[in-house]
Amino acid sequence: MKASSAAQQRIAEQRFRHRLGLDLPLFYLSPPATDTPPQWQWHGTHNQYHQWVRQLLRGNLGRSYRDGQPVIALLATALTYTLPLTTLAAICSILLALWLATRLSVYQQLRPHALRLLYALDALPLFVLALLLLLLFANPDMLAWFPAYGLGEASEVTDTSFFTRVGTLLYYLTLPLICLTLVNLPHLVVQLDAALQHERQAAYAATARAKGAPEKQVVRRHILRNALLPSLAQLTDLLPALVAGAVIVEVIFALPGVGRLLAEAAASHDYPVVLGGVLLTALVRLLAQFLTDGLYLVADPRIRLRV
Amino acid sequence: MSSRIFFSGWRNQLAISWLLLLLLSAVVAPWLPLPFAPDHLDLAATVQPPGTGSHWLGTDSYGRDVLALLLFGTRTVLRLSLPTAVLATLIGILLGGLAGFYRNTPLPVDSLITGTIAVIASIPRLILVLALAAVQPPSVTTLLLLLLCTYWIGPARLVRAEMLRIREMPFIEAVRAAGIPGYQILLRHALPNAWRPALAVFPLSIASVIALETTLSFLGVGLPPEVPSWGRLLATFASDPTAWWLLLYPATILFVTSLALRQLSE
Repeated sequence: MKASSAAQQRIAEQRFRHRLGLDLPLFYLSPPATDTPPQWQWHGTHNQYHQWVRQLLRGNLGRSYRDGQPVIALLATALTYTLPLTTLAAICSILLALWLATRLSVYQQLRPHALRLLYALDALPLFVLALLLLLLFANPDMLAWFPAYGLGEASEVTDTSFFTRVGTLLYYLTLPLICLTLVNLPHLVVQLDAALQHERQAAYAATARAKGAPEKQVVRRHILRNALLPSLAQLTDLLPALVAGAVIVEVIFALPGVGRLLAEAAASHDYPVVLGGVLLTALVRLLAQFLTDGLYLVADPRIRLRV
Repeated sequence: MSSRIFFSGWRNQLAISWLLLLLLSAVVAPWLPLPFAPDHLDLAATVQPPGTGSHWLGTDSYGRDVLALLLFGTRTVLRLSLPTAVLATLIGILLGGLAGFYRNTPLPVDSLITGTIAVIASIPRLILVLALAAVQPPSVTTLLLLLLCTYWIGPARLVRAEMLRIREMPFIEAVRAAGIPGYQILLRHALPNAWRPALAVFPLSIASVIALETTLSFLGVGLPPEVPSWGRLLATFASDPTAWWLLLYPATILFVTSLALRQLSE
């Protein structure tokens, strides 16, 4: 009786492995193992990687091991939360960096202090920053200004008008947004500041000053445009950094986004979801690259595409 | 960042003395007369604030002594970050030097290495390590290998760029004209002049490894729970936000260490 139930269990296990495609070899080649002939083996197209790529070309990323949902659907739902968060964070950090860097360029006496502050901010890992903000601003004992986690009650989200819904969403996204913005700010400002400092010495800036233009106008009208060009490359790194930052922020603030999906999938060995998430981040990187190259074309007429 | 702002003597001295203190405490931690061992569980006294009993810095959710965990966590951090940074820098110097020196003439090394760098760089580090850690819950050694895979690209890029400049210089042309074989030029003449940029980012990569390790431990996919780690303590805080001592001490140490390492790289 006991033996047959064990055999049954093994058969069920094998059937399950077969259904998930886990009984196939991983890759085209496999190294020698203890129970195989002692040379490298060639498996042809009959392997997990080939099947995965074939399904990928058909737009199918497989199904999650945990709940059997298609990975694409899971990622799409999660993106509806992550996309607003990262887009807003990108816009906020870029605008803030622009404002701060031009400010620092005009008011030179503030520069050392501000840079030192940013330097310290840069040394703080994102999750520590998020925990600190959580402790300060979402704590009934300190300041309970913002909610600590989640995206609001179901009734708040569904039964109200569009604007209140967006308002609630923004209210719940405020702290995560602040975290992501602050963490990306130092790099952006430092790079932009270095470019601005470099351009300040240029002859055309001296000409503008000699004509009697106030420093503010010199910076804004003349220097900034030229300083922006070398800083554009920063954008390529900003978007992937935001995606990675979203993982931490979404876990801490319990937002149902791509980052948390990925972290949970990684913790529970849900490989199709992990692979889908990694693929998505690589796509974001490519997108950022294209975006930066496109912006170069727009920003600098001397750069032309050679086809 | 411009070096002028941060290049004053006492800051560097402070940074170095903090790092030495950290190193010392990590080395002598097993012989210190601590009231508790880091793996001593006391389930009767979980999440106690500092000063209760003889737990000077309080206890975590298993009743382990925070002071002991911090000290032994320093050991973990050093055991992971130092070898990673050293090996990554060495590998980076070697591969970056190869790519920059030989370019594609005998073998397409440059295309291969820059291509690998581009592939690794296309996925954010945290997500790459997260995905790889999902395959096998890492021990200290496997995590070291994982980190190594992603960290050699920084020094490799820098050394490659420097090598591209060095290889066009007249003295390289002179040794080439003297008939010395390529690998000897690379090892004796070109590399000794091109590896310096990698040294500048060395403290930064230590800081980055420390931050990444604590983040992974915090997310629960890092080292196994019995290994003492700063990130674990912070994760305990996240599940119990009233225990401020679980945030304050590890976060302060993390912050000061990161700051000191950045100071050194200036």
